[in-house]
Amino acid sequence: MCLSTVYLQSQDRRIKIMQDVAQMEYTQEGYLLIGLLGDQKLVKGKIKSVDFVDDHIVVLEK
Amino acid sequence: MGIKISVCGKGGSGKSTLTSLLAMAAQDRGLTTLVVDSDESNSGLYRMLGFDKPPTPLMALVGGREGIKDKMNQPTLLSETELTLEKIPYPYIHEKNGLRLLSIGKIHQALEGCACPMGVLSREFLKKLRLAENEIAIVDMEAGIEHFGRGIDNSIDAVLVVVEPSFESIALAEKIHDLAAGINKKLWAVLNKISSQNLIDEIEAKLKSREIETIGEISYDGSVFLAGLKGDTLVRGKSIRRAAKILDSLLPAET
Repeated sequence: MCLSTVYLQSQDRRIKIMQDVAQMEYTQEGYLLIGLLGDQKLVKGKIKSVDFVDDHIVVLEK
Repeated sequence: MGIKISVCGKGGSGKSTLTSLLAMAAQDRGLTTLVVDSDESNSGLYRMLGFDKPPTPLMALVGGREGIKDKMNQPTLLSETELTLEKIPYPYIHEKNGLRLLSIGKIHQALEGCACPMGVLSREFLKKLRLAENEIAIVDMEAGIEHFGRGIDNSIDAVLVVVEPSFESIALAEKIHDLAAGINKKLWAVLNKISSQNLIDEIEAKLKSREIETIGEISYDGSVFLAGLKGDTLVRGKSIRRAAKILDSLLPAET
């Protein structure tokens, strides 16, 4: 799987949270997204889908 | 502000050779010249440019493929919003008489995984790179068209596609032209391995029918072929004079 884009899906829309995510870690606060150059973001929710062909992950907003 | 030029085309068409010729021509013009080796498979660009060894790839700065996960949490030079040539230290950049060489990364072994991290690194580096007026960056791209899909060309000012006398090369030039147009980039063809004026006319016509403008040509040059065969530095001869003409057409008038 290549570097991925992570989206946050709410009821009516999908927002791009981060591009080129190299690592995604589960923490008590949510998923920690880490980019290739060290940039980080936290996204709260649960994983809805992982697309290995189109390199994206959708997190469903809590 | 200095310009960023990418050199792309079919494998074996002469991208590294044209990159080197343009870089040496820019050096002769007194420009501070950065060559970015963005081709993860070639290994001889540093030789053509007269360096004793290649620079340490930028991939090493983020830990390389093996250590990348350990280093991701640590800020590096590449975490900066903007990068200037002066900020990039040895051994990631090698310098010789105003000519600088930087490499993104290389594939070293079978089954080591895809080259996507190198693509991202190339794109981010070129996006962050800020050039002064007397500086120029020439990017030796990987063969083919994947670099467009990866967005590496987004920060480029001018795209050069090297065209050799073959149907495949012309067909790929057309594809690259379309991809460059899709991101509003100016593109010109440079003809390479040319043996006669008739050949120039024929290829130019084929390219023109595909709305591709030819900016110049590199004729057959025995010294270039010999240097390529022996892994030697390119000799300053007629090919560099041809490359200088191409460069002059690309540089802003006031430079």
